[in-house]
Amino acid sequence: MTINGVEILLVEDSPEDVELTLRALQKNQVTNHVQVVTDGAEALEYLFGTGKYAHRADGRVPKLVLLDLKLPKVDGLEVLRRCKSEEGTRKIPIVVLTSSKEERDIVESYRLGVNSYIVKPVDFQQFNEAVRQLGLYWLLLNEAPR
Amino acid sequence: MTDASVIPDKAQVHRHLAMAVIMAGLLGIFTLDSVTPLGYSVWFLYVFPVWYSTRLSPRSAAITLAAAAASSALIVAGYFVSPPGGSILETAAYNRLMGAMVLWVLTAVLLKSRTIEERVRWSQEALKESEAFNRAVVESSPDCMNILDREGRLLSLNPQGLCLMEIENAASVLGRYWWDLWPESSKGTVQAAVQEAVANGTARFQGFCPTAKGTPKWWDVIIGTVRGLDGQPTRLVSTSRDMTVIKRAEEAVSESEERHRVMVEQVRDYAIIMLDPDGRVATWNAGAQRFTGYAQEEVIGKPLSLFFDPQARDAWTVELEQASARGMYEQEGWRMRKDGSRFWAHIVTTPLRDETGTLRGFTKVWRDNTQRKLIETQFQQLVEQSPNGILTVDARGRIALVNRAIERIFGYKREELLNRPVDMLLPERLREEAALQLHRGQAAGETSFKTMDNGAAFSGLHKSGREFPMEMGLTPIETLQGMMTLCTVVDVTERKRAEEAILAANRELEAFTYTVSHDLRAPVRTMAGFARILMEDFGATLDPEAQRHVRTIQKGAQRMGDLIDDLLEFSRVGRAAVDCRPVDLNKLVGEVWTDLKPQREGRAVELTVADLPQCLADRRLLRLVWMNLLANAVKYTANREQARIEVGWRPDEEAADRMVIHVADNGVGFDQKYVSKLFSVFQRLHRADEFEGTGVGLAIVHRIITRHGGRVWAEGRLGEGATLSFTLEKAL
Repeated sequence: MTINGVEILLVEDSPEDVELTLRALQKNQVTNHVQVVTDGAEALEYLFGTGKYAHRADGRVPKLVLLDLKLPKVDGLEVLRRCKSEEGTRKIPIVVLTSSKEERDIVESYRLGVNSYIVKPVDFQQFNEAVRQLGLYWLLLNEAPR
Repeated sequence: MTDASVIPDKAQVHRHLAMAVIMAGLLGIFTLDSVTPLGYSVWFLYVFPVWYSTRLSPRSAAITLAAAAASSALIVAGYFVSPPGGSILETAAYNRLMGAMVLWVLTAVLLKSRTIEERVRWSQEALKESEAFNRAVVESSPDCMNILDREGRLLSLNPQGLCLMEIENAASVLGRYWWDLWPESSKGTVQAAVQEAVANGTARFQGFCPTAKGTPKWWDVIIGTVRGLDGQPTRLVSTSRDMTVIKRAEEAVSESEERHRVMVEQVRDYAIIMLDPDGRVATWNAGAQRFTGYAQEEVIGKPLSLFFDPQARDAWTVELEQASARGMYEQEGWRMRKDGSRFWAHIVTTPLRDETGTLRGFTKVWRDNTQRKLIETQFQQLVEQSPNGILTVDARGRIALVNRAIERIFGYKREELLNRPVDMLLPERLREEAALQLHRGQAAGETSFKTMDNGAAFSGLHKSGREFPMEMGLTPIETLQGMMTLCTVVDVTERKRAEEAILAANRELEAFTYTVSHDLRAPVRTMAGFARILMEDFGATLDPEAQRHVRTIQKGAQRMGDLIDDLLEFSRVGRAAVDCRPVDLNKLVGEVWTDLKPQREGRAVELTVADLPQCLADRRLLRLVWMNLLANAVKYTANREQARIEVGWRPDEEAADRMVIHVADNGVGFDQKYVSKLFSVFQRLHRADEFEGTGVGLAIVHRIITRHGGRVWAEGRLGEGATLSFTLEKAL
């Protein structure tokens, strides 16, 4: 399931955005395995090895979470809160990658301990740039949290 | 010396009798004749005068006895001169009879003379005694008694009179005409009184006469007369009683009455009037004239009903009836003036009774309280008509006053509320706290305000049991009835409903913008993203026309993205809280200018900034203002060889604590007639291909400045540049 022992969890309900994000990562030579889940509930199951990801109960967690805020079932802020309040997942870097420039979203995200907050720009070029910096920053420069 | 000498004692009588017997024996009369009946009678006649004389004075007795002796001598002589022819006895008897008759006559004459003499003596004695008595009476009289002759000359006066008149030497006044002793002003009266007494036997007058030493005295004088045998007055007796003390007291009383009368008449702030028992005006004062407009002569004798409204004329009897029943009657009411206008009178009516309890009339004291009444009435109307509920609560927590709004708000009728605990208007859970508030407020004299804003909602309890949100102000007030709390109540049900509606609308709007922020941008991003992918992956195989179409899609998506972003920005500045702090404008302008570097790249743009004062504003929002204004200035000077932007300030002539800041450029400017469109959202004065933009920038500026309480305006001339001005509060 993992490649290079590194994986990225992308929580995004829009298939177009998933495709654009994956392409941006690929273009920036981020070759880590990306696991895509399309709602907040699935994201939590994946992170905590429950539900349909119960077989993943090997304690391994993704190296990075790219999290949209507006998600079906459980919204992104709730996923962030749960993730940052559990000992096992607290250290996973989480980057909020969202359309929302709403101040309360940004403030709330930082309050819950988000590591970075990126507003998806309309111009994909800027998006590429953002993703490129993300890839460099979190996957290349940072040590794995474990 | 009188009676004792006139009436002899028994021993004396006996002595006289014995002497008479001896004398008769000596003369032989008794022995000769005593045995005959005639002898007895003669003896009786002979002896009786002698006995009788013993009842008289010694002198009378002596005369009697002398007479008896003389008669004896006559009897003896008669014996010798008795007529011839008669027996000795007959002669003797005849002589005796003659002698006895002579003796009897003599004795009778003697006795008569003696009786008159005695009587004269007696009357003289009695007169002497009576004079002494009279003198004693006169001398012991407490009054001044003068004896005058019938011409009015003073003959004597008693010691008390000397004392009362403080006369040391009686001789100085005796013999003078009595009226000359009186002061000039009284002489006439005195003289007339004397004449009246002479004519009618008595006269009386009162007069003032100081004593010899000048002590002022008032006298009550009665003159009587002493008449002679001819019935004509011979003497006058005047009895003068010193009544100075009484007179003084009377004067004091009348003086004080006069003072009261004058005082009452002069009082202007109160009408003080007296009525007779039938309710007619008896006295009137200045205050009454002032209140009613009637002069004294117009109202004296007029009935009280004069001052009543014609419709209520009968009411006046009630006042008097109440007053006489209760002893005093106090009330307030409208009374009529002479000119038909009304005044609000406070009236105290008191019945006047004499010592027997008979009603003699009434006093009425009016006070004109019209001003107070008007104020009261206005105040009452203010309270009554107030759209807010007003009630007062006394120290015991009972409702003392409510207005119409309270009835409406709580659904109770006035009479259901008055004198009831105010608790009934509050839900049970709030009663304890409310009582505490009331108590604290009244004790401390502080005003408190209970609203639903700060913390727990404050609720009222409607009669129906429904609770409703209300605001309540509590103000302690001091009244004649003691400390009260004035409660103003506003039913905020409607306002709360409206507030909730606004909040709901705001929440909806927020949800909407949130949705816009997330969902509207996503498809735009998809378009732009995939258009780019198309170009990147297949650009080489697309003919130029296809490439142009793809680029148009990309531009459209970009523009859509910008519009959404600006619209969200605009929405955000409307909702964001304004956090005002001192802002260094020079620094802020510098920062923004630096941020605009990409926009002015490759151009010659000269910025002149005056030394700007600190202002009071939300820095984050103010930054948006400068960003928009300076970006506009840079944008609209794009076709100028030498672009000039000038920032300056001046004090705001409309508000001392504000300043006017302007940003002027030498750009394309605008036609002043379109200035009204300048600050509206999405309104643009230039075509998109001339100058890019969404038409939101100045709308954002307008909104931010307005939210800071400032004004913003623009002046421009087509082709000559524009000046945007706004006001900000200066920081102290």
